[in-house]
Amino acid sequence: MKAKKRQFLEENTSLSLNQESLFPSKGKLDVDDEDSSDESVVESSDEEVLEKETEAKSAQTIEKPYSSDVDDDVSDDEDLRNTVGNIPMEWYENFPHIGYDLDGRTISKPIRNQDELDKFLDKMENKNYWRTVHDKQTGRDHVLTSEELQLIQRLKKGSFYTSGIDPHEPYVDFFTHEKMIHPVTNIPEHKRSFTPSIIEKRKVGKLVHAIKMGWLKPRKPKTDESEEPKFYDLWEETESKTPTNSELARQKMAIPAPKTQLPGHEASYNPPPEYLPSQEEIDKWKEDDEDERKLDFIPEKFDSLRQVPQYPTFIQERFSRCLDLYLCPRQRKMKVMVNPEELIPNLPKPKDLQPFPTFQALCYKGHKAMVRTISVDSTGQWLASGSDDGIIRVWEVATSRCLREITTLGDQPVKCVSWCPNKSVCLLAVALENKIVIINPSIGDKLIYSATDSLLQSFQPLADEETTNKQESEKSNAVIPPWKTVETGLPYQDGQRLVITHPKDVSKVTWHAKGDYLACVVPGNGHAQVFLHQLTKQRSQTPFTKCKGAVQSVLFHPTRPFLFVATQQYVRVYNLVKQQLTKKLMANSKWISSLAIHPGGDNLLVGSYDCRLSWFDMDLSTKPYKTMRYHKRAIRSCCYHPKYPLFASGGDDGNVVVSHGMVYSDLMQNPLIVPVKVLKGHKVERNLGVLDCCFHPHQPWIFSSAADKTIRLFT
Amino acid sequence: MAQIQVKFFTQQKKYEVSEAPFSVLGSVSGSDLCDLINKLRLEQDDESEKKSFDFIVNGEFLRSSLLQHIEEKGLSVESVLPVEYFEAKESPELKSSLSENDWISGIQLNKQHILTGTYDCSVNIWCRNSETKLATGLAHTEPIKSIAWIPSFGGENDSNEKLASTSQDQKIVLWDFDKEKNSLRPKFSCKGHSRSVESIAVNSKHETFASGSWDCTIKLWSASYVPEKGGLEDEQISSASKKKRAKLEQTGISRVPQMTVAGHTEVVSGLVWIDNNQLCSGSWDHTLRLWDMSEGKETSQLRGTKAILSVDYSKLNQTLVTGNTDRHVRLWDPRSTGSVVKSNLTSHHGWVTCVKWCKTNSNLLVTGSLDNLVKMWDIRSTKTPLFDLTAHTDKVMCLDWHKSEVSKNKIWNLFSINCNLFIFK
Repeated sequence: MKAKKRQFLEENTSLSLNQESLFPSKGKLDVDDEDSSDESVVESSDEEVLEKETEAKSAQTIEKPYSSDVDDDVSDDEDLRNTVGNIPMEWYENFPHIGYDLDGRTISKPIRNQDELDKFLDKMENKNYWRTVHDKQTGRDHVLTSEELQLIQRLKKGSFYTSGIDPHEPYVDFFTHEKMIHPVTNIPEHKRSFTPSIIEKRKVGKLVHAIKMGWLKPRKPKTDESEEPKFYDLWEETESKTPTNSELARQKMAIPAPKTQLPGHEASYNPPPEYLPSQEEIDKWKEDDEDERKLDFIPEKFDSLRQVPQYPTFIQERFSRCLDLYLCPRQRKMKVMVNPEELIPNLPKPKDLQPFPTFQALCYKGHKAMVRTISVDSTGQWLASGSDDGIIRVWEVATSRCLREITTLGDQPVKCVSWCPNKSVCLLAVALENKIVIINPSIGDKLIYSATDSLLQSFQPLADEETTNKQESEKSNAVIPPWKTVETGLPYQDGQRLVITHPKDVSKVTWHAKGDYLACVVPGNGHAQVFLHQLTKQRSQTPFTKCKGAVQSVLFHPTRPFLFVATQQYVRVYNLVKQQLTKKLMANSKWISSLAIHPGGDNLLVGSYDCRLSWFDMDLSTKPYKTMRYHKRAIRSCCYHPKYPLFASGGDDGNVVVSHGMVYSDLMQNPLIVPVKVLKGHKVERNLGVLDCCFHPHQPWIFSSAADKTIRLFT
Repeated sequence: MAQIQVKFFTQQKKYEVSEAPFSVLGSVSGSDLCDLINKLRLEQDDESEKKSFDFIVNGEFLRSSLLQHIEEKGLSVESVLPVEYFEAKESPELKSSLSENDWISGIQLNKQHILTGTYDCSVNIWCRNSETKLATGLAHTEPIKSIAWIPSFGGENDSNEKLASTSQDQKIVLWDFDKEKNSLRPKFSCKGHSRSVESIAVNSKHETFASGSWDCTIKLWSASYVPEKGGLEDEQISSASKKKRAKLEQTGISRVPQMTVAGHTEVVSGLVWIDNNQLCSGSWDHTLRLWDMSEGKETSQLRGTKAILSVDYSKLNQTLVTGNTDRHVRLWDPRSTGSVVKSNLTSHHGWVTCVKWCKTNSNLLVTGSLDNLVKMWDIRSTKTPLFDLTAHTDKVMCLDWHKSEVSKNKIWNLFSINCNLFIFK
């Protein structure tokens, strides 16, 4: 018991400061405690008594402040309340007093002269020693009353300050969870509560104004959604949505899985005997490859269903069937309903477009080198040809008989021959080296060829013309080729009548349709690449002071005063009367080789070394109306038939391609072009095939000359 | 296989067999029937020789099996089919060849001589028996294009033969051939054409001849060798000086045409007289025109699709034949108009340059082509010719033939580039 007391005391002493802080200004305790403590000590000495006492007195505790006040008044003289406050009392160590009382009088330090022995005796003898506390502010000892002790105990337990509070008394909620029919207060709501708050209105008004003025910025709406992960509801509204076209199509095009074949009689456990295979068939079945077998099992006969063994490959088959169903993609094959023949343009059959040349009728043999050029007489009786061996031959068309052989000096290759289209003269223009030789082959009508000679002889150059010629030549700064008349000797007997000498080699000669003018190409002669010669006046001129590009070919328009000049990529159409460029045709090819004009004059054919043959409708456009690629190699020549709706091209692949080219007089209708025949027969020598081709003037026949030294007639 | 009842008959009495109908298989061909006939003949007469026969069913040669032939013709298989047979002609053999210096452009036979015109401007006469060249005439300056005999009424007894030649030098020369002296002299030089004269045809009365030219006209000339009294020709002789007379000897007296008819638009390549007045002309303008030469009028026109190279007319069957530039030989009825072709003979591979009827057999004709072949046709067999004569090594440009009354056919024809004339027997 004592040990307990001691312990408690120690604890109390340790709490002494707390006690001071707990009761800072309750000096009244001291006096009261003195009295009551005496009583309590008398009354009870053990704890049980103490507790009973506290319980008994607990009822009075509420009214204690009042009683203490009363006590305070009663023991006024003994009230030693220090007014220095909660300060460290060491500050008063050197003073005789320890503070001031309520009246301002000093509180003198109590005289403590107890030595250790006294303290011990006191400890031994004094019953209240354990509940005696030293009050530093007053310097006196204070004996705790039992109430104070109980309070200390409660506080130590963490319980309430006063003892009368029950923390576990039943809780009565003011508002209940049950729905009540009556309001908590039945006071009718004030009228004010229905009117909008003016303060709020003002506040809102201020905010609105601030926002308007831009002082206050409303909070930005949340836009940054990418930061948050997105989630989609896969199955959202799938059923309610109307299906799109592609979905509908997919549903429509759904292909059901192929059905397995139903078992037949041979699959029965007791098949009719005709389904049972013989031993040979079984052996054959075993030898065959799995793919070749008709059945993938051997039909067997069992007496009863009971004896049928388990099907050994059942699971395997199911498995392969499943694989078939989901691994094999099923796709509807799009059947092309268009008949491929309908895609081909509806061209008339070549059979209906007759006549056109179909087979080789004659072969004109005699030249010893490649035949570069041919030309048919306007009557259709004679064919002139020029070869690299320097010989010009005139053939009878009907029999392939060579009737005239005109040799030229030097055996230079004959570049071009051309019959004069005028039927009242018999003249052949030949391009040879740098000369154009006008030859009278003295063939055909005697009257005509003798008249031709006399016509040429009767020419008398006028003196003033010569001077103008000179002037012109000075003006144009180009050499005007001199004309020379051949009058005697071997060349005359050979038929040579006139020689026009050019500064460079002549590559091509063409006549105007009336037979008076002829144009020639002199490539590589600077700007003067084209020369025009007039036969009746024996005059020459260079129509162009400037020539862009290398001139490949020239051609007269059959009826109008136009001259076509083909350079490597363009065909220029010049009006000779107005002396201006009227059109520039783009051939869409790299190197033009030949030109031909339709007898009507509105359509032009352009062959090129890059295998293309272009048909120009000059009313339509400056670009080709149609480009044909029927040759495998370079096109060397092309021509129109003067009467039949035919045109042809000859190329280095040794073929002549004949096409039907109908030009309608109705301007709205485009020309009809149908390839009708590929004429083969010429051999390709040294990569050269057909070099020239031309139509018979009256018959649907075509002549072609080639590098194999022959001329062939196809009819 | 269907059985067909056939009945054989012939016009050659020596090969006659019984007329009793036979039942033969439908698949039999000509050679099987030939064996049958030979067996039948053996039964009748033990000494009969084996011969080969040709069969005609419904007017056409049997070239395929009998059943096929019947189906093509649409005949009944049920009834008895009359089959005509006759001895097959033996293929002519090459007898000899004559050589000229240049291409031969025209050839014509008469009983004793062969007349040729060549590209070296000469007219040559050969003897048929000895096959030697008798005479050469040089009056043209350009290649000869065609030649023709002008038969005289005196026949063979006449000491002189008359002939005409046309040339590219626009002239027609009438020659006089003295059989005894073997000399050929130009008598008349017919001038009037402005271009090469391509064809000539002598009237059946031998009084006039017609010529066709590249100037698209046909001219009618007198064939008389007596100079016209009181006309230009007489004047030429009478007024000529000695020098001129000598020149006339070389070139002949000039003659002018009696009549000129124009209508063709291209060269007149073939001419043939149908009767004494009616002339048929073929041209490169694809037409055959019939002319009444007494009036000089065109009577009718037959329009083809290809240029015509040669024309001939058979008096026996009144049919015109043309050689065309498209490999076909066409038969025409001169009484029809328009473009009705009687039949096409198709086997050549090149232009058919010359056609000639047989003068004694209405069914036979010979054609020559640029494909180096001469073919003999029976017009009852349109797809296959009777024979191919393959001696030529170059283009055939003209031919003539004469079937003698004796037994064998003689075909004379000509070959161009190697200048050879082949004689077949």
